[in-house]
Amino acid sequence: MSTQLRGIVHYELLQLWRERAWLIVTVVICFIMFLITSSISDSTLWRDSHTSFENASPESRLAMTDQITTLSLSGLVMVGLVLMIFSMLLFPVLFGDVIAKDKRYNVRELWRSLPLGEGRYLAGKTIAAMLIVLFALILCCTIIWIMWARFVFPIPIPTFIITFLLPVIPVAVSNTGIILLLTATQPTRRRAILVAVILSFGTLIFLAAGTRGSVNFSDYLNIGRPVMLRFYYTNFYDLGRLYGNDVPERYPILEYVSASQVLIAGLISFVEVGVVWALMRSFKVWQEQR
Amino acid sequence: MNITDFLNELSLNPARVRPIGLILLAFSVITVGWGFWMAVRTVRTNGRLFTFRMSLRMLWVWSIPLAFGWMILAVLMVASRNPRDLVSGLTVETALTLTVPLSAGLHAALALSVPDEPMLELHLSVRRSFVWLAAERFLTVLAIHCGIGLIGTFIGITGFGGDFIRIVVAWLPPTILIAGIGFRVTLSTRQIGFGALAVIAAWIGTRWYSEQMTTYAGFLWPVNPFLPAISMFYLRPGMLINSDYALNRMLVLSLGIALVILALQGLRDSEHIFTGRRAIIERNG
Repeated sequence: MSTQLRGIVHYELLQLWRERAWLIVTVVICFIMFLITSSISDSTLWRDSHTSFENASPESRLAMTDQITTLSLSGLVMVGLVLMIFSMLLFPVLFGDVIAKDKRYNVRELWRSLPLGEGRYLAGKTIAAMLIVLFALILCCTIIWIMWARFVFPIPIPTFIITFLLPVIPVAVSNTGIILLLTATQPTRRRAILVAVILSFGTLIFLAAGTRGSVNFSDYLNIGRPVMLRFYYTNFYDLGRLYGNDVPERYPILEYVSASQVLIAGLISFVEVGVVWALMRSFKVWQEQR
Repeated sequence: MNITDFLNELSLNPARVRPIGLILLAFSVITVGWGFWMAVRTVRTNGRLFTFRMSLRMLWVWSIPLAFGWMILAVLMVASRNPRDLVSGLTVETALTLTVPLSAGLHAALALSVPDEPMLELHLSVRRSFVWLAAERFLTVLAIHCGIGLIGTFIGITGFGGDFIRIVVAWLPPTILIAGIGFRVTLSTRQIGFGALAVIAAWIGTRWYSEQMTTYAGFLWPVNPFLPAISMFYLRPGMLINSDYALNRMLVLSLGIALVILALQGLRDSEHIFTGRRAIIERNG
């Protein structure tokens, strides 16, 4: 990484870290996760299963571990889905005005006098914001794992990483990067936040559009990341256990998605960030030369 | 009995929360009444102080067709009755409660950012109080989005039927409450990003997860902005009486207005507007 890029990432990270806005969002998300976790641990279904497990003999417990882990994962998926929706909507809005702020505080004129290209500037700002979101998510997920182990049932860390971090990180981190780049041309902070909000909610519409029919290539490119939602629904959301024969009609019938497909979708999301960066860089250079 | 058991018992007997709802309503109405009295007094003293046309220009007019389009899209989705579709299968009421409060809240959160307001010094040096500028912006936002909501109600009733009063009563109070939350948080934190985030978080928590809120936190029914009408209660029939829905609607409405009045109250101090801190009065000797 060039010295200039490292410098921008370093100082932008310091600035975003000191602003503490990401910490407030993280605390709010953790609080909501705590409410959901406590309601799940209080639910009759979980209490009955847990009581049976606790009262079973050591030999029976060994046999029941898989079953109770599956039930626990079904509940954890609910938490994961909520985390995914919150991350998709909150983090991009939080960092939507990062570049517009420089125009507001007249920093733009200062760095335009330096030998710093548009590409490095945009890349530095985007990488810093994405790193903060990544840190916030890892912190959230660590707290959730601890809460889950304390109030519900300990989940093995590799399983937790596959069911939680693997789907959620691309949704939050890459979407934040993409939306931050797309707000780079906005003249004021207010417009930048408004555009970030519109784009964030637009990802929900894309998500809904992508949860139809079978999985195809466009689902991997879809900014709503429907592959992650399908992964949750088809692997862990045990609707039969939760609802019996009375599964509500609003839950769609989806094609099965594996963890490797989630990994591919995640990698493609980061490639998308690079593509958007290249497009915005070209647009900004063209705009300057006009 | 621990706090969880206490709250569970309250959820099973939600009528026990009725007196708390009435007390909250009394406080909110007093705050609203005080705010209106101050407003009437100021108008009598200073005369006409409104410049709605300028406020409209400062609110970025392109947001109006965006909000209108988003509302129309949701109302048109009512036509798609496929229950397996994640976003359709809506009624006119749910379509309007999904869109109007959110767009009003976001617009209110972005209506006035004190640090980014151009020529702030000029605003503070003229006869017109800065409070009036803020109030005017909020009222303009409210008028726009209530108009959008009413148009959506008429379109929805014309196309799909329904009761006009019931639909308006379903979306109007939460619109004012969520707009009040966004406006208050933006003015308190001086960051439009925080106001927008507060609106999104409030909307997700109360609208997106309204079913869970009614099921797991039934004791919050007096302040639930999206409480279903009495005939659609998820609570067991007979738990609440018809007037409880009226209490809920009045409380949500008055809380929203009270939030705005309290937010405007903070703008009476010019030192606070400039620096975000209260004026320090030094006493000699």
